[in-house]
Amino acid sequence: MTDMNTRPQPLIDIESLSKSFPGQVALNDVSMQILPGQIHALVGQNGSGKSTLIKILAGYHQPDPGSVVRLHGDTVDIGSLNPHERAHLHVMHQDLGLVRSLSIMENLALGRGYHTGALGHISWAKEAARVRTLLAEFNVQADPRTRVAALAPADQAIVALIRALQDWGDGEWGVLVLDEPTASLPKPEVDRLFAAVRRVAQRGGGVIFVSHRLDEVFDLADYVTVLRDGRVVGSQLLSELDQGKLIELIVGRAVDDLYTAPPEPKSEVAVHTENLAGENLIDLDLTVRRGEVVGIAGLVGSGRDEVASLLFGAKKPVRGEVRIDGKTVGGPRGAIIAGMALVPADRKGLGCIPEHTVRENVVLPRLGPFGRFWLRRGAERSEAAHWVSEVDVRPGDPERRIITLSGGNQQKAVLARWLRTSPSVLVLDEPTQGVDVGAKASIYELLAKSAEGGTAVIMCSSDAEELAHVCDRVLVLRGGKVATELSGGSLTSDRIVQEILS
Amino acid sequence: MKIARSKFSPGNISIVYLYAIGFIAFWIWIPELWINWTTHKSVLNIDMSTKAIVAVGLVAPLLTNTFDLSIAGVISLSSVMVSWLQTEYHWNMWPAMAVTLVVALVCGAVNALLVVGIRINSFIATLASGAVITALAEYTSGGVQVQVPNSFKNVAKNQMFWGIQAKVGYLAVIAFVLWYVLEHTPAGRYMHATGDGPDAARLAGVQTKRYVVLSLVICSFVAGFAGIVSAAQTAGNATAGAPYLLPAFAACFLGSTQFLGRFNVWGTVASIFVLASLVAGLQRAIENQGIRRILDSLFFGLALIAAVGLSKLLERYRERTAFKLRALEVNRIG
Repeated sequence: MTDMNTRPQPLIDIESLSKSFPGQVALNDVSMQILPGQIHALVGQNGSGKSTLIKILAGYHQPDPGSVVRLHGDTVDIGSLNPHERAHLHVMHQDLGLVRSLSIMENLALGRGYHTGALGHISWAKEAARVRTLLAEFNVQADPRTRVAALAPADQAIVALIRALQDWGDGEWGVLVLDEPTASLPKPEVDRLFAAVRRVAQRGGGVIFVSHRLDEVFDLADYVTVLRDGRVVGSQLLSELDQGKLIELIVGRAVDDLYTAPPEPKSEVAVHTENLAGENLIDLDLTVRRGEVVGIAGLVGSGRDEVASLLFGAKKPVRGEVRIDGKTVGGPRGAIIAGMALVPADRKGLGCIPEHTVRENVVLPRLGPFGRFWLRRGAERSEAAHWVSEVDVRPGDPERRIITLSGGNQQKAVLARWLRTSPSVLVLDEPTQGVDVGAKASIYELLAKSAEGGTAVIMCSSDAEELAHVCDRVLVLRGGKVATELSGGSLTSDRIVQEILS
Repeated sequence: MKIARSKFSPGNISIVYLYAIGFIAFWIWIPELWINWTTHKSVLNIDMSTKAIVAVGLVAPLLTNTFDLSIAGVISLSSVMVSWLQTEYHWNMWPAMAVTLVVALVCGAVNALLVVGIRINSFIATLASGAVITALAEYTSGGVQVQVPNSFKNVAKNQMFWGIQAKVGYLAVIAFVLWYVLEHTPAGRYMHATGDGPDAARLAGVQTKRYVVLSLVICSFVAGFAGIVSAAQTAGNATAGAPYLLPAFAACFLGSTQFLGRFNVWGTVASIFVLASLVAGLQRAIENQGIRRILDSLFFGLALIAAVGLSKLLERYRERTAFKLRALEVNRIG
């Protein structure tokens, strides 16, 4: 393999790929090659350019001129691959793209077509035999006629995998891009999926494996490319690295341990949970006092994305209970009455009613002050106007439909809705997702002000910078449990990232 | 840049313009028949009142994004029930009406159980329950018209003033009450929220299930009342309800493109009035009594398509403008 002449031709050869968006360079001169049989990990922090690269490979973005991508040695236009080329560069997203209500066999036949007999009828028996062989090879114990929805999540992923590689002709191996395939899989399922991925590599296919979980990267991949700020900062065999060195490459500097004493308890407890568990969250003990800002960090699948809805009762906990000011509550309405407020991550679906006006959205949780039997419009208008100016929604017209505002201003309006209820606990899930920089700063200000006023603020976020910037302490979740708690001097965004990835 | 349309822009009150155009056209075409109170009186008394009562009741479930197709069945059943209790059992009309309205409430409760309790899609659930309720009406009536006492006929036909019958008064009262409840009470606001963003409303503390139940019960109750009025107008009839279904939906959807840009009581009433007037005018102009049913189906059917088509176009237009506005803002900031 050391000799250039015997080195196999790369399945895909990316050469000085760049991508810039207005005001921002997302990818800068990125090169990487995938060899047959190689499992190639692609890692980097949020914002490192990883997802832009995947989107380019999937054909959503067009790379800047001067970028070259070769498939099997032939230069291709990555922005518009023909079906044959596309089959050899298959991007598998987290949603897998399977039709859940159809059988395994039908899913595999979509796109490729069925074996047909002389009369044009489908030869089900032949089809089933072919699929059965494939399933056996990948160790899926299911009949080809099983509906995909009835399969375990790992098996669904494997079916998606099989569907991708059945289009590769013999000896013409392609590349499979797996985008965070394990984010929502439990450990034993992960092992089964990995076995299938290894099988693809053994057959001669190439795999680009994108994951935040470094232990999985070491477990599965043999080569790694590290992206930081849009550039390749590391490209080497994983056997030459250890976890610490890899984290250093990802974060960009050595991260050392700092010890600081936990802050002293300052006020009464506003919200308390014991053994709270959901789908991915296994065990969360959380005590937040009035005036505290507490962050929850963790990868997708670590349970972080569930914490907000479990606390608020929007999702029923599997185990455990939530106490607000000492009282147990269940369900959103109970939580609101008990003094909790939730700013959910999905703003358009859950955070607000898009077609309603800012006024209607702001006053919705508490119409009481405007009258029980007759809503006094005047009082409602002036109160809405007050809150719109309080949180500085722009343009400051309460009668505008909220959907016509920018993301940041929508979020400010949603925040106004809940600040108006003077909550004792304010829970936020990804509060600055899709929010511009200016609005971000004012949202942080509002949170700080509300905490000063005695509200316990709980902020779940995937943005380490933001957590380090806003929070008094941050709980890092890993595998559904609190892995560590950071505060004081040890609360830095690098340290959060390190703990998340460990 | 302003998104909100002016109150009087053609898009907002197009049916008013439509009525004006129709009015002038018939004035020229059939002046002696059109500029004649008898014509407009009969539009109010006969063509419009009962239809409009049903339609305003339907506004409530549509606001919570719930369909109620069982209204036809409920009208039939209550029309048969109120006549049957009086004729077969010689009940006084008041208890007969009271029991009939209770039966209508029960129909609404059953719908609510299917839709909210068992979570069947409202379209399917009420289609099925409506069929069962119609079957009940057929069984009760024995497949024939059930005659009603003359005194009961006055319930519908009592004259108020200028020859306008009591039915029109009922419509006015029901429309006013529903307008008040849907537009000016917390319950109405919660119904809007439930319809436009059920999950978001729930997370804002709205008991969304309760308001879906309430809306279905309101709708059935009003349909039950309409059934009583229809029985008083002619007789108890198990096929009385079917002709009301299309006009009610057409008027609600056409009304939803008027005035407020969402389902609303006065838009619905205005839509029925305008459509009924146009049908009446055309029918008189063509001088053909038999053509009325054809025109009815044609107009209300076209109105439903036009209304839904229009709101789809409007939605797309709004999305585009919203997107443009956001882009403008981003440019300003960036």
